[in-house]
Amino acid sequence: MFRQTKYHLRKHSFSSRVFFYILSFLIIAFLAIYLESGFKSVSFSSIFLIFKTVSFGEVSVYALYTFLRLCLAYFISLFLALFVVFVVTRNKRIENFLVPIFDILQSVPVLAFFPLIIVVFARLHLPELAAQLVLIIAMFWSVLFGALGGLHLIPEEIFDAAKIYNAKGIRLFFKVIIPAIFPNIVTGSILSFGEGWNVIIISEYINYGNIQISLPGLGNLLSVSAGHNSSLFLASLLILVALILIIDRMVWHRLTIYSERFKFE
Amino acid sequence: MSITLENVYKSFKGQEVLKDIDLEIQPSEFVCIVGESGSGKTTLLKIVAGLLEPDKGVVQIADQCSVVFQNSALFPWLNVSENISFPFNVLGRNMPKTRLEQIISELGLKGLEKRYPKQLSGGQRQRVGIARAMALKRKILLLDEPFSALDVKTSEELHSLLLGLWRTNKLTVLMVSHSIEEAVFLSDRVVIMDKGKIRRVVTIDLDRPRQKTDPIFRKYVEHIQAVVEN
Repeated sequence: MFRQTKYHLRKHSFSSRVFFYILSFLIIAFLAIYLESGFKSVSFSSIFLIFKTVSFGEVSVYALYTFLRLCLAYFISLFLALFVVFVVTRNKRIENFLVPIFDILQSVPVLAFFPLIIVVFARLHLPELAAQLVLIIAMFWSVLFGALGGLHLIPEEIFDAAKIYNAKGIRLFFKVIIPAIFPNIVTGSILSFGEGWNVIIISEYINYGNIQISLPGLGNLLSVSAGHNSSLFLASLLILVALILIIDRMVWHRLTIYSERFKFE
Repeated sequence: MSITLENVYKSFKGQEVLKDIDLEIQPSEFVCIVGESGSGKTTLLKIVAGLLEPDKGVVQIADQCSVVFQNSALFPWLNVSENISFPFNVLGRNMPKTRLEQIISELGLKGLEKRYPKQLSGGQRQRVGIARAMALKRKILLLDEPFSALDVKTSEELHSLLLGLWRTNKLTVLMVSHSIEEAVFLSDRVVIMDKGKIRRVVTIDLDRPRQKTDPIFRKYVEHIQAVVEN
């Protein structure tokens, strides 16, 4: 008689997950090849050609640049979002004033800020700062609204208990509010990184009129190789997808599980 | 006096919630507040706790208060020991280990120190809530319907525990109760509230331990019930 234990089921689901990851990877690779061939053909030789013509080491270094750029923009966005939460907890009337303004600003597409960013930073020869600003504008809102949403989910009794038991002002913020909104910060961060991946192409390769800003990174590689160098395009795309998957499993998945402890019933 | 309220008035958005509240509570006295929903019991408790300011009147309290909340209000990211020692840890201090162990032992929480609130039953969570309230050795203990969500057996266990702590630590206790029987069982006086006012204060002249089957006990319960219903 065969009995499925929890361990057996966990083992089974791990191999299922690995299988589906590999399958997804291959599907994306074939779709990318098909796209690059102008919707004409799909062949294994296209994939093998990548390994002959592209230096994966170099592309990986570019991937690291992109990842570091995203991380910097994310942490700046997180710091700003937590600062807003701190200000709001000190004075609830400020929230009524700020939130409608934020609601309008987050609806403005990041591309609307392009002419201003390009004119200012191109003239100052600060391309990295331009890229950071584009990324922060895209990534900030998800973290902010995640944190503010979490603030409203904290039960009133928790604030009362904190006040009774010596947690006021800055102590209240660090010892109670930040742990309480941690699950929402994680959710907001996942969305924030998603927004970041969406805009890396336009943040690393800005081509506007006679101004061109080009930074080392996956977004830049994808932009310059699209339609010209299928091998490089495919290699960049596959490494991008692999990077996103690795970050999802190694960081976001673990943080999501860890954040369960912080949730109120 | 441990707690004195003189002519306290409170309203929310033009709606009177408390009116002409005059109440004095002696040191080491155990007082319960009963009344129908919306009579202002919790608002009164919050004013005594300092969580709300009265619009008018004077509130004098001899010491800082500890509060036990209806839903325990434990921090879900802290385990039992960390929740109990929160009042110390939040100030950057460590709770004395002997004191922590003593409280854990008194409240019957041995073996649960590393558990998180989600892993505890309702009764265990309230024990942790009471333990946290006892951590700072404050002389005034306020409780807001702490046993309303618990079953009868667990409530009775916690009644005995609370009475033991009150006696041993010579606490002044002010408790909002959802149950008239519970109020008569526990307290020296029962304050009956209705529509934001104190209707009557009934002194319970019974020795402890009290028996719920005692005819005089039942008469007190019926009398208070009649006042509340009328």
